[in-house]
Amino acid sequence: MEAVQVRSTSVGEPVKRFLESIPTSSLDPQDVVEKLNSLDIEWWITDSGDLFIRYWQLGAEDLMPVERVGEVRAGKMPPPQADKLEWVSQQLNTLRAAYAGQWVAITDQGVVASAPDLAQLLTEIEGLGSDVEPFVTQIPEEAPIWSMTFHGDR
Amino acid sequence: MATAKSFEHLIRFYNVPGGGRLPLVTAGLVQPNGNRVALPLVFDTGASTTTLRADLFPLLGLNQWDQGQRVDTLTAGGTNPVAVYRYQARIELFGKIVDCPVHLAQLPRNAPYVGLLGREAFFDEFGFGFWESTGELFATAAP
Repeated sequence: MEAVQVRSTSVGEPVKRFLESIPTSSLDPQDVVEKLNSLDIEWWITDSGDLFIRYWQLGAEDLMPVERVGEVRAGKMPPPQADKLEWVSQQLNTLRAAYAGQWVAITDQGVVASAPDLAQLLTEIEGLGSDVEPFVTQIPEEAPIWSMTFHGDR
Repeated sequence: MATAKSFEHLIRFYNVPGGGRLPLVTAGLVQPNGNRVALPLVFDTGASTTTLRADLFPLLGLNQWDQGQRVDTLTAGGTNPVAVYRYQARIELFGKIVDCPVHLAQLPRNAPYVGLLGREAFFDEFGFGFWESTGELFATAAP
């Protein structure tokens, strides 16, 4: 058995990297705002040509002990950047309407690929890059069931 | 004697109308080609070995699900053994990567998870505690 520590990715890190690259980017301004649209980032260009944006960012690390998270967060809808499992759980009916029975890959931008089988999905997401870890699951075709746990016994 | 333990991760229990509730986590799986995917798994303290849905075999670099070592095993509440196939995988949880055995098995398709994290070679790396009243499970990667 091998155990090693790895650094976990911060919430919204790819978005942060893109935003930081804008001032020195060679992208056409139209391409920049289209990319912002694809990231669901609200933007506005002032009369003088400045770009203003509104997006999710890390406000404070370790704001509270984990014991209080459930209590404080009750009733809040998460963005896909925050917790994809939570996002899928909250959006399951919408996702089932669009992707029932499909395998989907979800990143900070939401569902980025879907396919009828996993091998095909993996081919479709090869181009995402090795620094992206898409959340992969199959959207249930019928109402989700919760029966079973599986006790392996060797 | 009171014992103090500290945990840095919260594992939520997820509910569905008319159903039960299960502790689900997002675990990373490192594929043989080095690419990683995140998967929804049950944090199953009752499972002895991590078990994934049979149709996840492409993630292990396999051409089919049943080409590994066959193991006959019992399901919870079941009386007849079912066949599962044993492989090795690299799984990441809470920033810690563990090389551990995994079974591929025929699991339910209409479930919001694609497998179960089990104890063998994995839970040694973590500590956890249940708060049944609030439906929360706390875990630490530094037990």
